[in-house]
Amino acid sequence: MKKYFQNKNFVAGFILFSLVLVLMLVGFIHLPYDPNAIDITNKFAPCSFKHLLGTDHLGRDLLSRIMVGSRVSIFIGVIVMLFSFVIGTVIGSLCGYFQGKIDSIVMKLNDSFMAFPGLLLALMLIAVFSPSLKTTIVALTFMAIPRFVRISRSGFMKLKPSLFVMNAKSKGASNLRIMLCHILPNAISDLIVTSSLTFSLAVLNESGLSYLGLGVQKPDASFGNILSDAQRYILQSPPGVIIPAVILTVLVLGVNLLGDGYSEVNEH
Amino acid sequence: MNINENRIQEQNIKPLLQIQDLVVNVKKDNRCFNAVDSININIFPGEFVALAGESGSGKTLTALSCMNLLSDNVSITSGKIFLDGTDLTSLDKKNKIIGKDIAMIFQDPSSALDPLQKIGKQITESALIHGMSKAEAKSKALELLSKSGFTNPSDIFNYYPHELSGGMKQRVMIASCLINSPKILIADEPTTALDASIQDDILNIICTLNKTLNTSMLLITHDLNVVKKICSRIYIMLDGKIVESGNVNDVLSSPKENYTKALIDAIPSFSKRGKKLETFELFENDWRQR
Repeated sequence: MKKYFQNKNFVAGFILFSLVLVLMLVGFIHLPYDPNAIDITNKFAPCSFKHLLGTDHLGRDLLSRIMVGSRVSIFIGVIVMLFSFVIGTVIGSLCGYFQGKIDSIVMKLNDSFMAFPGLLLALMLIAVFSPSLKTTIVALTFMAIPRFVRISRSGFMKLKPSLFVMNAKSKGASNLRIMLCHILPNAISDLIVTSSLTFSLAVLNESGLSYLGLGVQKPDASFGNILSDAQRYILQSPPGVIIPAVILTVLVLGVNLLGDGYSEVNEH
Repeated sequence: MNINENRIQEQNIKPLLQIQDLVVNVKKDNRCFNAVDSININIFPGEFVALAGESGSGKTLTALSCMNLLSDNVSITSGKIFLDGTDLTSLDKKNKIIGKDIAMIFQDPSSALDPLQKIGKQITESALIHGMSKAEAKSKALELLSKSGFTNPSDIFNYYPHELSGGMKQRVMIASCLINSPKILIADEPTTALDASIQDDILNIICTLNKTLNTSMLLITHDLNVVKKICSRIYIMLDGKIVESGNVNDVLSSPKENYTKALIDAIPSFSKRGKKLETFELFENDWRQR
């Protein structure tokens, strides 16, 4: 762990990510206001001790809304990352390890999946099923799986003929054991970097969908909702757009830097 | 050390490992050829046998066939390999023979050990796979490590491969192969990747451990000096065929085949100091020219 904290990118990413994480965690303990409580008399309040980040066009406290919105973002990021990691790695490692005809069919499908624009796929799924958190997660997971399939497959294909795998086979290790105990730990660093990218992409795509009104439904807060509400009043109250945008950027940048730092440490 | 072949024949001992008419076919770019061409090898219990020959003569493929480790483009087209009566060429996946009764040491210990697993885990792996308890496996591994020349086996247990030298890694490999007390050990050029100064040590360790465990050995090598030192019988291989076989002393002192003579002439020694070392051309029926 120490070597990771000697890497500048990792430290920067860690700090940025923790900032947002702390914001979210504090929200669980203490929310300054009800994020959906409307107070028309107090709309577009500037930053003050009463409202640390001001209020929006309905007088809702921006800090509370961001705290709740970051929950959604981080939750979706983590869930999409985990699901697509597990599903993608299982498919990819089986394909890479056993190869053969099924592998080439699966990979052709996977490639055509990758050629399909992800956001369009998400829109299609949301159009068929109603927009909700569940649909968003399913759509984003579908978008992320092909990348994991590719990367885990190439890792397994690369490591399968290596001598230490042969050695494990010569000791009578089963295929499952070889895949789990020997190949996966050696192939996992690429997958972790992909996970960090998947996390940040999921966060961005979720806000994109919410911005279009297809993700988290109003009045519940999410970065996309907050932004789409605030953009109409960008001239009246610029901080209403800038603050959530900056926090979203900090979250995505932080996770990306964590992934970069991780891969840099493992390369050297 | 020398087990007399006559004695074996008189007592009618069955061979431990019996390779019968083994043919191994290699497919490459729509061409195929027999890299191992109907060879017969017998190894008797407790015997150290050498398989010598030049690179590409099929030594390693023979060993890999015994271990069921052939890659997809290589296949056994005919022949049988018997280990104590069980046919190794038709084993099902759940067999408990590979790794238990027969084990293999690879040429390059640096790449044969999993870089991300601790030494202890790698040594005990095959014991645990074949049903030994964790505590028993650990004590056995520590014992083997100390027997193979480590003064601090319990420290070594927690090291990663990159923290060890080449010779140490090969000793770890030996320990991991012998933990199940296999009936036969296949050593595929166990000293080729190592420094000359520790080759002798490694060979001594393999020999003494094998003797205490009563494990036979098939030593694959192209170093005839090593063969002279530790093996009782030798098979000389060329282009996938056994060209000569017999007691080491007989074969090396009075070789019948030209190829064997050429191999013997190519051994560097002090008596040949100052003279040009003998070399020989690859033989006509070399598969690369086919």
